[in-house]
Amino acid sequence: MGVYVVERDFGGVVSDADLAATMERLGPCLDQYGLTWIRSFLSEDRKHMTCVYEAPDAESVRTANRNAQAHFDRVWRADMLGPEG
Amino acid sequence: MSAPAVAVDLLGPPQLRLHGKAVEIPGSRKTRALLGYLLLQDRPVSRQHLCEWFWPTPNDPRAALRWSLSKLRPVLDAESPHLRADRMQVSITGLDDAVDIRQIEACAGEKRRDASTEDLEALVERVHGELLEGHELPDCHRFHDWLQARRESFRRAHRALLEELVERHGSDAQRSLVFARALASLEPFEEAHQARVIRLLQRLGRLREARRQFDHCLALFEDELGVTPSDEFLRLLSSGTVADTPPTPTRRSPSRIETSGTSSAGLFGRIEECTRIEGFLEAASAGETTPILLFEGEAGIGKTRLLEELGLRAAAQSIPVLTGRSWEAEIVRPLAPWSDLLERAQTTPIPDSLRKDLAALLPSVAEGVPDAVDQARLFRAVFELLRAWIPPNGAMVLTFDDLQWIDPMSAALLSFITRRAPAGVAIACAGRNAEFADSEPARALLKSWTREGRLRRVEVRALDDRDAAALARAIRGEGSVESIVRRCGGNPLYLIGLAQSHSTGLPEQLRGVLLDRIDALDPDAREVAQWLAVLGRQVPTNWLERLVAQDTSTLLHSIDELQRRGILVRHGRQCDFAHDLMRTTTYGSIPGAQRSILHRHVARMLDAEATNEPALAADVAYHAQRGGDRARTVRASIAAAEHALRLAARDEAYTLARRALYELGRGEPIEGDLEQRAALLRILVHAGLGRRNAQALAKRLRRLVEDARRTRATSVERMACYLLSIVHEEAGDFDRARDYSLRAEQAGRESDATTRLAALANTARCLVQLERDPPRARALLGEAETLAIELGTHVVDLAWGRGLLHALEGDTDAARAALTRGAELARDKRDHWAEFECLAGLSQLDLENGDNEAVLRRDPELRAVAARLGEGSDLPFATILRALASARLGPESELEAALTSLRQADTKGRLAYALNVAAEDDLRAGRLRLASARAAEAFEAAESVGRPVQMARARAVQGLVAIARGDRPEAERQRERIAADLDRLGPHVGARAQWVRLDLALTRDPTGTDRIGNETPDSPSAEI
Repeated sequence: MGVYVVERDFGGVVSDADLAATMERLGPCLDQYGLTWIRSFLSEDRKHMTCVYEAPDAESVRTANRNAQAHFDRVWRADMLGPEG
Repeated sequence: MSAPAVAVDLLGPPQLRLHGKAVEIPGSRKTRALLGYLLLQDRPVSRQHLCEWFWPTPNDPRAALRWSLSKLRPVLDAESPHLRADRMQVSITGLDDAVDIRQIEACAGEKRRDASTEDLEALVERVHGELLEGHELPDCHRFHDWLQARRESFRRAHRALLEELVERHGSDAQRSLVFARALASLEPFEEAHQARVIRLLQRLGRLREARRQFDHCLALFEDELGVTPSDEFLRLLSSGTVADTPPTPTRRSPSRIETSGTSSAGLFGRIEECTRIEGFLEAASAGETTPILLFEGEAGIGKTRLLEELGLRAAAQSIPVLTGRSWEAEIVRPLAPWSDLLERAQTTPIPDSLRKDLAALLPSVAEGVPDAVDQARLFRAVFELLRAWIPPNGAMVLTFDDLQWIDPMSAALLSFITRRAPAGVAIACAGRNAEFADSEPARALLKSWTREGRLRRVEVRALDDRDAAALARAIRGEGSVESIVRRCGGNPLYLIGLAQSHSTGLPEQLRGVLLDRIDALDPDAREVAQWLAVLGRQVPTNWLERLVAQDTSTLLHSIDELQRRGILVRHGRQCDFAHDLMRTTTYGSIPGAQRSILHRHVARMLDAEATNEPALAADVAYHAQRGGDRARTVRASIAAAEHALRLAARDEAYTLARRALYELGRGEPIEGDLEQRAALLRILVHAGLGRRNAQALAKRLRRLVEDARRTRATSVERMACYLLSIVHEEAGDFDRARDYSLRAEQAGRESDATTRLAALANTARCLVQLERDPPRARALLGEAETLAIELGTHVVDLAWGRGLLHALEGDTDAARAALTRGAELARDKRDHWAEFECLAGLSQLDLENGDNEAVLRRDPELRAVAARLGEGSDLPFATILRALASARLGPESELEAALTSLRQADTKGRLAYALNVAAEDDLRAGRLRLASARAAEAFEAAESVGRPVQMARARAVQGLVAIARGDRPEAERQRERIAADLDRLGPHVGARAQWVRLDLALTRDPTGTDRIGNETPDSPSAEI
């Protein structure tokens, strides 16, 4: 398992309804593709979002998102860094 | 040689000459554009076509066309009849040879080889600018597109002539340079043109200039295209041609302090106008209801300066002044001048009671923009706000400049305010009278003011010679100003330009003066001017910071330079051109390709701003369209049209929606176009088109219903039926209205069943794709199929899932049929991912069946679809499929590299599959060590993502390798491990098939006689 970051650029402002619908679609897909959602960051202007998952590979992250019709621009494997190193 | 009877110049601002003498052509830009369009048609054009192209708003376009033709007729038919117009068609005949662009294009083909150099040079000199420069007509998108295409085809002709001239002057570097520079300016992103200029400068020994040109090109390529020039270009630097001199500072100090254009030049003459201003202010401060003052005249004549004078004199009497202005680029942005006017005045507090109603105009004063605006309340709120701002016992002045570009809503609000005529609010406007004809809102406004007897028109005339000379001397100091006065014809802007000109000779026309001023700028300042011209309106300085690739201090220096030279004026934190003609000229000086890139950048930047200011969506749409960004144009047009509808600005909503529909209907389909069409047609219905042209709207809606039904987009179908019911009801066809209401309801019910079908098919396909629980997947697919038959529909997931399941079960033909169907359905729905997966599934089937040629045949299609998916493992997967097929047909060349790409793409399931296929091929070829290694890696990858089939397949390969090596116990161990995995992960038909495969091999080789003695790549393995 690795940590994966998903970058999403919505190309405009995402509404609460759209966001909720995407999350709802994504929920079952996460289980199916072995993903654990760690955290998401939605930009204040509601145009960009970064989501962090634990997943077996990048492809599982892409497929789960595509399957849930959740738009993304990039998926990359990451090392988690924090104040404790 | 005598001058031809008629000569028409369309390259640059249009001009017509009769026996060499300039003839005044109508001032209306639409009429001029129409003239250019008709002159370039080879056959008559129908009136309907002209109406749709030039008057796309639905208010009596035929009358507008008649008016324009009536203005053209006296000009064109002065000597002999050229304009032919009957009830149906219009054409201009007998002037083909008189039009500059036609003459140049006629010579640009093979004919140019036979033409003399002098003739070619004379032709090139006739290019004064772009085709119909300054006549882009933002609200006529079809004409705009035609103009762009026509300009592009002329660019090719122009380029051919310039290249011919560069070639002919090959031995004369000085002369050749003139045309090489023209080529580089025509196509600035063509590296070859830029390199040619640098080489010619080198030949002439002008190394500093060569270096400057080189640096300029580098910046141009890197900043605007984001590319590095070719090595050949970069070698120009090291070839000693440009590197041996240090870069020259490009910044140039102005030779003297210059006046800053019309804005701050003193007022000369204008005694009558000033008397009017004084009377106007006197009446206002006495609390009387003042007439509406309108300064009208040609561009550059000094209208804005008089409005400013009015403002200055009002301020001197402590009368507050609020200024508004319209921009051509914002003609479809409702209430933009009012919004700017009130925004600027916000230092004065806004009463709390008005905040909510003003939110649509001033988003910053209330929380959020309301969903719908009551126009009457909004107008009343503005009225009350103005009243609240009038000082006690005092007056207030509102000025509106460039009235010829006012949008319909702003005109309506202005009319509302003037009708109520609050005592103490005095209104003065300025505009180009020749262009009022193009503006329905301005015409209507002036008509109503005239009818009410409130309008006082002040025609701003040319300065007389004495006043002109005084102004020229004020700028130029002592010395002769006679030639300037003679040439400027009393136009102050022209005069100021001439007086400030650095040229030795005086330019022929105002445009020439303005171009000289742009040319004299240093590159950084010119860049800022170009961005400002593309932005098309007064902008906050921080927008420039975001757009211009200059650090803050350079940018500020550039702005200062522009201000010093009187090109730019600053209003607080905003800046703009000192005169709109300067904007038009600067815009015209930007090469087409570069202009398009700049517009794209602006659209992207404004898109980010539009979050907080929904009104900006119209600007985003405008720039995106000019930048050729269709998807953004459509998206922003929808947002802008919806905003306009909220403000009840129906005409603007209509224009925006038409533009977006036009963009949607041309070129490659845009993602989500059904939903976007539905949104746009909804806007057209709400904008009242149904009442004006119910037939056309119903036709579009019926087509949408059909398309939505075909692709099972039930929510779109429901919306379209609902809209059809409204259109028919408005048209009085109540039976049809009822039918469509019922259909909308039916579509709603089907929508629930369709949603269920989609969920079933999706879950089933996911299970098969993940190699999990085939029995459940089979049951779900069966259920989904029954539902699909009931609904008479087809679902991508269903065909795709079925295909994968058949493949697992070994039914190749059924799998192929289902995946082919899945790919077709996905293509129809523009679901690129599903299309790729189905096509890749077909290639996998072919690989399994040894049809390697089929895999290679499908490769280009697969790669094309993968390319549309963007980032991911799809392209590497397409490559590995091709590599696996190629490796079987010839020497293995790209397989290892393709595997490496797949590993880097971090796609373990696909990697496991590819490694297993490669390992099986290795096994057949006797490369046992490699087969074993690849199978081991395949197993590890498959296990980490829980793919039982690929795990079993890897174990089976290991078992078969063991048999080939004579290690029967190891093969048996692998067979047991497959069985154990099956117990652990649950039964799986695909994994079970691998167990059977290994078991069969063990049964066929009870004593190990099939084994391979020597493990070499050349010794084929036994048939497995």
